[in-house]
Amino acid sequence: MKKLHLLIASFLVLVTLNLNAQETVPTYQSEKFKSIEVNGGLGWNFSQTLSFAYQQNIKRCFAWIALTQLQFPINLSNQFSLESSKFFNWVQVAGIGGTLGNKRFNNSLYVVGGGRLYYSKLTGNHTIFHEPTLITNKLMPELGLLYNLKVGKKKFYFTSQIYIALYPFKNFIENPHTLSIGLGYKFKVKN
Amino acid sequence: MTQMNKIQNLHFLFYFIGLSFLFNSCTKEEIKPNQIKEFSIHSNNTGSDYTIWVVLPKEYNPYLKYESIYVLDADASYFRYDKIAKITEEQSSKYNKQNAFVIGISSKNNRERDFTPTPISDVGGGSENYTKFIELELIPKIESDYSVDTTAKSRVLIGHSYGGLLTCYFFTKHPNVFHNYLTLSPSLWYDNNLLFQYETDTRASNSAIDNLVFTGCGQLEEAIVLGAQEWNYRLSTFYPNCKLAYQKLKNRGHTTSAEENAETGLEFYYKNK
Repeated sequence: MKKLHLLIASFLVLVTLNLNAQETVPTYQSEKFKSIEVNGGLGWNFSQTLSFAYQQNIKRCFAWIALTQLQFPINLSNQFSLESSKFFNWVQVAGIGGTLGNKRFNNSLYVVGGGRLYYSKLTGNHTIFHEPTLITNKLMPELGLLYNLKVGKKKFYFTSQIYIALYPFKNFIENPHTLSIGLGYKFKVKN
Repeated sequence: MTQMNKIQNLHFLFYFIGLSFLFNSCTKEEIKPNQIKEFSIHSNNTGSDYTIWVVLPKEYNPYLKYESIYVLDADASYFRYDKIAKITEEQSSKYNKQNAFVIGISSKNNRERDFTPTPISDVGGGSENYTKFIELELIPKIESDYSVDTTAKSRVLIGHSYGGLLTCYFFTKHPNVFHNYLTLSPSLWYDNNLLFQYETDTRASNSAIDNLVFTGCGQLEEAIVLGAQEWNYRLSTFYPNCKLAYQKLKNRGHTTSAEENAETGLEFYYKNK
């Protein structure tokens, strides 16, 4: 845990130093935007993820986001001597954050909250287990940090996203964090 | 508020968050360095060298006999021998029982070979040699160098993940070495759940044993939970003289459940010894 804390502190310091290194502040005043994004990528334990996001600039350096994320892990059956396995994660969050950038690049860091539906069904060998099926079905609160990078001047742009799931706090290192890339579309906004 | 002020405020926020994480990194009082003895031992049974850490009981008196707690994977970042020793100190004090030796066994090399009973894809299958190393080489060395009780009743084995699998292997195949087991997140899925076959095969000869077994896992490691709950079911059904406890920690995964389950297991041990 000590190493993780140092890592997070180092990351925050590096981001701050990076911001400080910019030449002029007005260069990093964010453009107004409204956009939708579709991202695909990898989650913790190499699960596949698919996410949909709607973002809107509220006021200069602040924006809000609504995110839906779906996770489907790899097939666990062979790895754990199971007859079958099913797993599904659905995350629904919204949040606000700071955004800095120019016409080509936009960096956003959000604090998001909402809920997660966690479902798994594992079936073991019927001849070995007295109860061969284990179902885990939980609706849990969700709290996370979301970093979003937009690259592109036109209506369609590239995007990458890092989602850090903070809850459950004591399970942080094993929480389903994700890294994904995708495409976004900017709506016309009056300046 | 100008743009520059807003940026500066953001910087101060980042620094504050960063500093708060650094302060939280401070740990509470740990085991004193002079309580820890370290040595290396070569095993003729496995052919490997192991680093061993022996944590002396608090206020160690060489004229008394102490119990011994053997910890597998003692150098894992989430499961270190000194953390286990600290928990042991706290639990023995809580129940007004004598503190114990904690013997940590490193597993940086050949862990998969040493902890698994059969090979899969040319890896594994060294459990039998490893149990001989512990029973015939390590335990005699500890008992000759330190004032420990030499009966099996006074020995505890703690294992997590593959280490948990090995505790089950000891229980079934070598039940006379240890009397008390903390089986944490055991990898009982290994080789098509082979350990359950071993349990079935040895049940008749082992059914009268009166061991103490704590089985623990995390709710979010479902494949492990399936095995752990079956293990606990078999022990409670077929071993009427055993003292048993089972814990499935809510919202915890494989490594994040280890320390908390070890603490509950040691509490169960000290409450019932």
